[in-house]
Amino acid sequence: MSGRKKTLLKVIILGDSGVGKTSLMQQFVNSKFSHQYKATIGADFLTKEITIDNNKQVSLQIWDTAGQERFQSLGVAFYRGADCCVLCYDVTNEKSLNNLTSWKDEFLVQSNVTNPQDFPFIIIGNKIDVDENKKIPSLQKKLQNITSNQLGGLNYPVFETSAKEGVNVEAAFEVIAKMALQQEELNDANGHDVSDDYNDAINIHLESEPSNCAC
Amino acid sequence: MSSARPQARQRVLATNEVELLYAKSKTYLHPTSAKKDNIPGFLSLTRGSNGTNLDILLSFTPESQLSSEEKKVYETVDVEDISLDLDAININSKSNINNTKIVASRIVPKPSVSLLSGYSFSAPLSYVYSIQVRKPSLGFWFGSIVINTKDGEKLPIVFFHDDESPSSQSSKRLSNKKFDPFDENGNMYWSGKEFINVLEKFVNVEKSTVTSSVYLINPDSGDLRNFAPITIEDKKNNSGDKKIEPIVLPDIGKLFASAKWKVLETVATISAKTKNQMINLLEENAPLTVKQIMNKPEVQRIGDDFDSARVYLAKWAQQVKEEAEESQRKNMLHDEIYSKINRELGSTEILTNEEISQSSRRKPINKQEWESFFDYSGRLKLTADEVKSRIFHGGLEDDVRKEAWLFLLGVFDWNTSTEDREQFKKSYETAYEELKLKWVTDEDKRATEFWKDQKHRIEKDVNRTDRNLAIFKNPHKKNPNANSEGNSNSRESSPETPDEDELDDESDISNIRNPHLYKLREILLTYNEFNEDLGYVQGMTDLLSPLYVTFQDESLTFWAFVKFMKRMERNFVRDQSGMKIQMNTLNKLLQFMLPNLFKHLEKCESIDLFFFFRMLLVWFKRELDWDHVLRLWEILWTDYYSSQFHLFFALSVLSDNERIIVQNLRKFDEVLKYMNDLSMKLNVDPLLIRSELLFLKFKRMIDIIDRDNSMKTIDAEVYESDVNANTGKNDKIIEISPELRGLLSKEIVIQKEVPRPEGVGGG
Repeated sequence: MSGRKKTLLKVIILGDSGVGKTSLMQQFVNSKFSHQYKATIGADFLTKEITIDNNKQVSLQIWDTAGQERFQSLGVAFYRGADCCVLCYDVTNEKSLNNLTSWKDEFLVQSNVTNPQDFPFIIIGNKIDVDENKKIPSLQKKLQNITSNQLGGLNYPVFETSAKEGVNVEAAFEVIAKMALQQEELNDANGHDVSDDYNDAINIHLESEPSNCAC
Repeated sequence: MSSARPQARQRVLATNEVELLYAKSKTYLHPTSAKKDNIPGFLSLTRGSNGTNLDILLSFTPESQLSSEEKKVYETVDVEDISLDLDAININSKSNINNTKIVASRIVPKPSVSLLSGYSFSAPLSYVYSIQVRKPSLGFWFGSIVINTKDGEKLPIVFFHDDESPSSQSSKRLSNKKFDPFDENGNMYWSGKEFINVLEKFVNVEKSTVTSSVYLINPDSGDLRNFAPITIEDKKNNSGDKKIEPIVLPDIGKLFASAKWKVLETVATISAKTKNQMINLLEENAPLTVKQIMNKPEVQRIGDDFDSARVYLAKWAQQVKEEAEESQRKNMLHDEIYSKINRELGSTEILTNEEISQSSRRKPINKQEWESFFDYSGRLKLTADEVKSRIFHGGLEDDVRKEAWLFLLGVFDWNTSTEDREQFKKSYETAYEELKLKWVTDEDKRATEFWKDQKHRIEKDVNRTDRNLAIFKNPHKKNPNANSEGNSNSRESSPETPDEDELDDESDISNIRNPHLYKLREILLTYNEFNEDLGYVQGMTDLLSPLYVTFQDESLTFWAFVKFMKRMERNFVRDQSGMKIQMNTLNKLLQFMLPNLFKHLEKCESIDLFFFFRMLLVWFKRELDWDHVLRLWEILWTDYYSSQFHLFFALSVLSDNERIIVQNLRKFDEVLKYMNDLSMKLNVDPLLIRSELLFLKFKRMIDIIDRDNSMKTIDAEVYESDVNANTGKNDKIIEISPELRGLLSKEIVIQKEVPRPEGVGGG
């Protein structure tokens, strides 16, 4: 797809409950932070038009998801056609950092992407605005472990942000958009037919149901 | 007098005695138009021993029939400050239970029980159908009330001679002293209205929408249907804050069609002003026969002089009644909204008019009506099904919920007495304390990874539950009393979503300073132990919060939540199978009921109905205003038609948006966005009507298919074979899937979580 038509890039935000996924999305799209967000149930998305690589217009469709693991089995409904996946953790919550690997694995299982090895992921550590003494002790080392040392480590770009104060959010999403665009172009080049994904998704959901409606 | 009351002598009522609750002096009957024939007396409300508020007697007693001592009691009660009196006589108690002591100075002999003896009359409030209040006006120096009984009898008109009555004079002086002789509605003081105000304290009084001067006394649901104002506003036609004027005569067709004597009685006594409005409405809506009567010159004159027109009106009303009953068979008219929805649903050929008109929404049950359901011992006088039917069609007013929800949720059995329930409440409290103590005292348990995880989850979610409600706002100053266990210093994490107050936002999430949020936490931690397999799962705070806000009692809320979770457990099981089953059932229901929309959603790759996930998981808690959530839930809890009525509500949301979806939306994400953004834009009442009609249509379709199937089975056994094959033959047996048939059941679907496998967290 060339520059003449606006490209839609689909981005999925994943991560433990309460790391700030909704806040990140709101901060990026609407430049606001609220104390009134509720725990996300199901999934929702917001869209923002941005310009990258100087003159390329793209629409980022950013999907916000529920953080409790059991709700991920429904991800199959909306992971399809994703161009980039954002893995989030909370810089004050070690568990959320340790869970990044399983979020990634789960995504690859559910999304059924064609290139799991080089599908673009990005890592965001949120809440850097909080006091230093509340942050995960020796965070950088632990992060290092996760991103590079482990077998199949998450060797992806890392951003530390504050959705509350709007620190680094814009920059992170700019990188996200570039990575997503690359993925999109790759898919186009491969002549990847997105509708195959759609059919898969539908079949998985209604597998127990041959369409023999009573009416 | 009133200051001396605390010391007042009290004694138990004898059987022929009553407590004088209200008395009005200088009320008159006017048996003839001659002033000399006027009968002065007391209008009174009295209550005997063991009587509920519906047993209160409304009486007129001529002064001449009272002994001088009795007269003194009546006169004393007459001039007492009415608001003080009402507090003193404990109006909220459902009854005077045996042996309750009554202030001796209020005890009088029971007024004559016969309906009409001499010039006195007496009737229990349960026997009073309506009261028309006619305020003093030019030409009618004295205000009066017209009492209609349930049998259609009209008691003598009682005139209020306020200029002679000491209590009226003092009330008038009081309002003059305030330099405001008018009440908040701009009406001049007169004692007839005051009488209605007093009645409202005891029983349910509904202002008729047909004519505003008529008050219905404890109307039953049928009356409410005939008289109910249409409270539903079609928000879509209503841009923003522009208020729709209440429809004066919402329902003229139905009113005439279901005409009873009492309905027409009201019509017959309309004032000249409302009569003109009525004629206009009749011009447009009424059957021809009724119009002809309305246009008679005699009728046009009605309202000029009530007394002389009475006889004529009675005859006229009788005639209209006959005409209306006749036309009922040919001209059944319905409110616009029902027919509109019904037309859209294409169910006119499937549903009977009766079914359609039954689906209207009624007024919520208020305190007085709720209390009228119970006898003196607090036992239900109606069947539980009757009460549920009433709740299903109207819901509850907020102050009734505290009691009624405990029945609906099954915390209390419908067949219990007040005493039983007190008993149960105590054992519930004990049981809760025991459950809670189990985790409070078990330090090993609280040291486990699973426990800490769950606690963190609960605290995180409790802190972001309904933060717009005042009750859940964090206090601005630290409240040491609301602090949690001793270990709250161990900072597990910072608040993800701190309080609105910037100063507060670095606080620890386990340090919950709002005492109500703190109780939510305690309840959920206890539930996490109570139902170990399931534990806490996200979304539960949404289910708990309305219960807590309603009861504001930790142990009752816990047990109510336990009962609620019984039916909601399937929404939260680890493998999500309960949600998938429901979405699958909804999918089938959609195919069955709205096939065109289904086909369109198929094109949009949206038939997994993923966008219903949130709505089904927490029963539309995120889609509706707080008040609407409470309304919807209490209706769903009745299981009136189906224990899965929430799926019909979901279907009604789709149905309501069918045209928009089909015409505008093409893709999965568009559909999802559109449906998600309906949040806080849904209007519960029209959707409930739609849901009910959809259910009735669904049931009828199943009936028809079953009937056809059984006939085919009898006719030709040959065709019985492969029922699944979709060959399109007309004489095939149509199979109704078990999921769809299950929707006709009122039995709650229970799916328990399986035991948590070793090493699996609560996520």
